[in-house]
Amino acid sequence: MKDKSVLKLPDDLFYSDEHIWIRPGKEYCEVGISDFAQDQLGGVVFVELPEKGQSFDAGESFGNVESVKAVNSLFMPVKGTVAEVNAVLEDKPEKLNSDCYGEGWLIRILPDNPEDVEKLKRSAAYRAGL
Amino acid sequence: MAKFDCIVLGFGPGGMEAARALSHGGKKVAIVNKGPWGGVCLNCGCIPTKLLLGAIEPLRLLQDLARRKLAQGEIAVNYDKLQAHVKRHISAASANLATKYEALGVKLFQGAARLAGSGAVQIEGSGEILEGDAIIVATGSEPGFFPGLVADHQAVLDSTDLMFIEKAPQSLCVVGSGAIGLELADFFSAMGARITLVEAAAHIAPAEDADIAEALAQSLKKRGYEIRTGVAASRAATVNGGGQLELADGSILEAEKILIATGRSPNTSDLCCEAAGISLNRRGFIEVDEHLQAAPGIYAIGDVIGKALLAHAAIQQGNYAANHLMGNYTEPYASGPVPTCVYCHPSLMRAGLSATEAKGQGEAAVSISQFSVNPIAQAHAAPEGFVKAVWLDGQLAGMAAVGVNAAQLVTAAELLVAGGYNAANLQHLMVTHPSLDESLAWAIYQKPEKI
Repeated sequence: MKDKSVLKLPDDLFYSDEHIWIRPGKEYCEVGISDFAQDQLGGVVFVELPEKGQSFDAGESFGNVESVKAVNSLFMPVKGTVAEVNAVLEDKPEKLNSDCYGEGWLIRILPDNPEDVEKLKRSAAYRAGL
Repeated sequence: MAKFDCIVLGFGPGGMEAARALSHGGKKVAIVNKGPWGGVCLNCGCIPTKLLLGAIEPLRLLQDLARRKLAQGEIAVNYDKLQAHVKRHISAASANLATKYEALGVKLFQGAARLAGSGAVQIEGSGEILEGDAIIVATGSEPGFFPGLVADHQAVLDSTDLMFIEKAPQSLCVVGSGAIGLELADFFSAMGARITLVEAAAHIAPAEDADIAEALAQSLKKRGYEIRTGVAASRAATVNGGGQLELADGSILEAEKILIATGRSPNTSDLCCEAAGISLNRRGFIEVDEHLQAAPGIYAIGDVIGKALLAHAAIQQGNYAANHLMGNYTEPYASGPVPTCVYCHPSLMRAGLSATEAKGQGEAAVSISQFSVNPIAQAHAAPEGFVKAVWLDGQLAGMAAVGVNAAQLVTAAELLVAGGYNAANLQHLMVTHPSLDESLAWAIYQKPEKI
């Protein structure tokens, strides 16, 4: 597994302690798993995601990611509603490993309170907590 | 007056095994049984619930495959045919038992038995009196209720009512999440019922460790279960034909039917225990000594002594009592590690101590192997769950599992625990690969973490 110093943790994202990143945006916020999470999981074989329109509290499980090592719950970083689900992952769950910040995004959400996003950790603080 | 070497009261698994062992030992045996031959296990317990659950296996497999888009379609269980199949099977098996035991030379008597003193047993109804040099009480148990939570057999049901219910309910509230509650909830959820589990303890499957219960709860919630833990039910009633359940926090749940599965209560009321010198403990179970003797010349085994309310515990105790009576065993009864399983989906099993129990007895540690790394679990598209080895002062003291077909691991786990296996001596045992069983070995090979 990667040394934590070489993990890619982009500076423009916010991170939860459950290893979820969130990219704030004007129309929606994009959500995915961090490089640390995908590295720990190893080869991802299945991603189970919610339906568009479902709402979740912060910390609530919105899906599962299965690798050949583990089955892990995905925890919502902030309270919000699912605006879009990444359909690509149904056939290509390996995108979580190869491009976790790009094509491997999980869901796009509308946060109930957009300011909740900025209360999450920035890259340096998240890296320090790993 | 008919005279026997031993009179066995109760024709469930425990009484059956005692009678078998005694008649193989050349003894003249009578069995007096109040209900249908085969006891709770065959008639309204282990067996009918397994027959019901067996019919939903393909459905559960399809659901797991379909979640991953590996399969699609529908499997419809024919409820009426299934119920008829279960009843046919039970009554045939029950009749077969009578034939088999009569062929062994065992005399069968139908009716409630009363202990009439000095080895005499009186059969209710006919009033006939049998005389035995010894008596084995194996009268079993029936559903147990708390005040306010009593089956009225309308919308508030006991397990027997529910498992044979004519029409499967659309919604079911289950009070108590032990084996009975979990298994019946699983079956009726597959029949389309919306399930609510109410458990007074901190987590469902309260006899198991919290991590096992949590993994089970996660799977059940995905199936749409509503789970209320840490809150006791205080009152169940039929209101306008439907079930209404009041919880201790004041909330009220409604469901077409309510199952009360809060425990079992021993069948001792017909026996006249006091006159026979038998004492009951404060929960009403018969007290026995280390040789399972309740009074001179009287043994008690199975559910009625409340040590472990399991058919296989009764069988082992029945075998012990018979052999102790014949002088073959002299040492005290020792159960060894107790195996249990719950055949819901995902299923549960445990052999020996839970981590919680081990912690109370010494230095406890656990080592875990996830089902997600097991090829057979992967093949069933069900990687959720795990096997856990429980260590007490460095010795393997128990194994538990939750996950697809986890219940099938119970006997292998039992042998590993009873055999005192560890990461060193397990090397001498060739464990099949790939198999679900090897997840037991992998759990043993993991480094134990102190708890």
